[in-house]
Amino acid sequence: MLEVRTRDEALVAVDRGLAQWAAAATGVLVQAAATASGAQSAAEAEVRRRAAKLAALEALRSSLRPGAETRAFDREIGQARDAQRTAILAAQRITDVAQRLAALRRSQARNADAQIGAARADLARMLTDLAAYHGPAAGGAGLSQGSSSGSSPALAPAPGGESWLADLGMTEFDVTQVDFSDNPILGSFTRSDDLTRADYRWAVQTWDQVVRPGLSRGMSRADFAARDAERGAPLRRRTAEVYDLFLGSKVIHLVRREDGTLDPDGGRRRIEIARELGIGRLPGKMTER
Amino acid sequence: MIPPLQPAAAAYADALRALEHALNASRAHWDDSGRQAFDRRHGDVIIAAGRQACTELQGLARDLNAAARMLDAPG
Repeated sequence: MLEVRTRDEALVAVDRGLAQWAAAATGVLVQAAATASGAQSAAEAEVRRRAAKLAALEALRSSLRPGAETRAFDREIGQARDAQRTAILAAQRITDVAQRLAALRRSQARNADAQIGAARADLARMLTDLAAYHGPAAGGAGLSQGSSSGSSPALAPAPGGESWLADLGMTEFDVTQVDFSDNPILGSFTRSDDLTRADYRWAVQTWDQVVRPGLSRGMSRADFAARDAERGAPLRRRTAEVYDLFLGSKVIHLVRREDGTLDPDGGRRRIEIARELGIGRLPGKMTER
Repeated sequence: MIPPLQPAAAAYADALRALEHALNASRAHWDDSGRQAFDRRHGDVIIAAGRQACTELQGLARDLNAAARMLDAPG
């Protein structure tokens, strides 16, 4: 928990609150959508079950001998029809809930994410202005004080010069040395996170041509986020997302095998796309076996 | 068995409360014209949108619950 004592730290605390809100809101809505989808499946199964029961009763009723007592059957068939109608109505209402929830998710992705991105970009600018006002010594202390005590990626210290990869405990590896033939990409290229081949191509190219050179010039994630906000960059076309993809939670981990090849844990799609695009090196965390 | 949406709605409300708390707590150390401009431009807008979404999610949870109860009756 960041202890807030100064204006700089208050800015960092607000930024962290916004980042946590964005992640939590998105996560909850994803979870809610999964719940609604499960409810739809359960309701549809119940409709089918009740329809089958009604059909069985009607078949039994029609097989009775002429003149046989049918009142009990007719009553049960009437109840089964009512039950089926109720299930159909319930399934329609659940479908409506799922559709409204999907609309809420779209709205969150389109509007709330943009609002939060713009707010965090403004905060980053304010921190930069504060640092400039304080001068190099005090300003640097203010920024690092706020960011080093917490986990706010947007306000993390800018990796400077050529040392930014080492500062993150990472290195660049040669994509041609990676061998995942024992764990190939099967089926559709699109993963459960819905990133398509086009998304990966954009991300890998943007890493190589924009984000990596920017980091070498001393840019930070906050700078990329600010740039995205200024341009109104849509989801999956944001340079800050590319930063996260390569340096955040989806860092490519590699183990060097005895034969010198690299065994990747995650990142197979990025590596394959890099090869396609002729991009020779990507960042990752290396472990010697 | 229809799973409920109430836990998701409650988690959403909790997250929104945490954001409101973070914004309010920071005012002790950042409460100038710049802060007021930030709140007008961003903070208030984000909180209002969050509250609206929260209300909508709670309504969806109630609607799903009502539909689930319709299926509870033996069929």
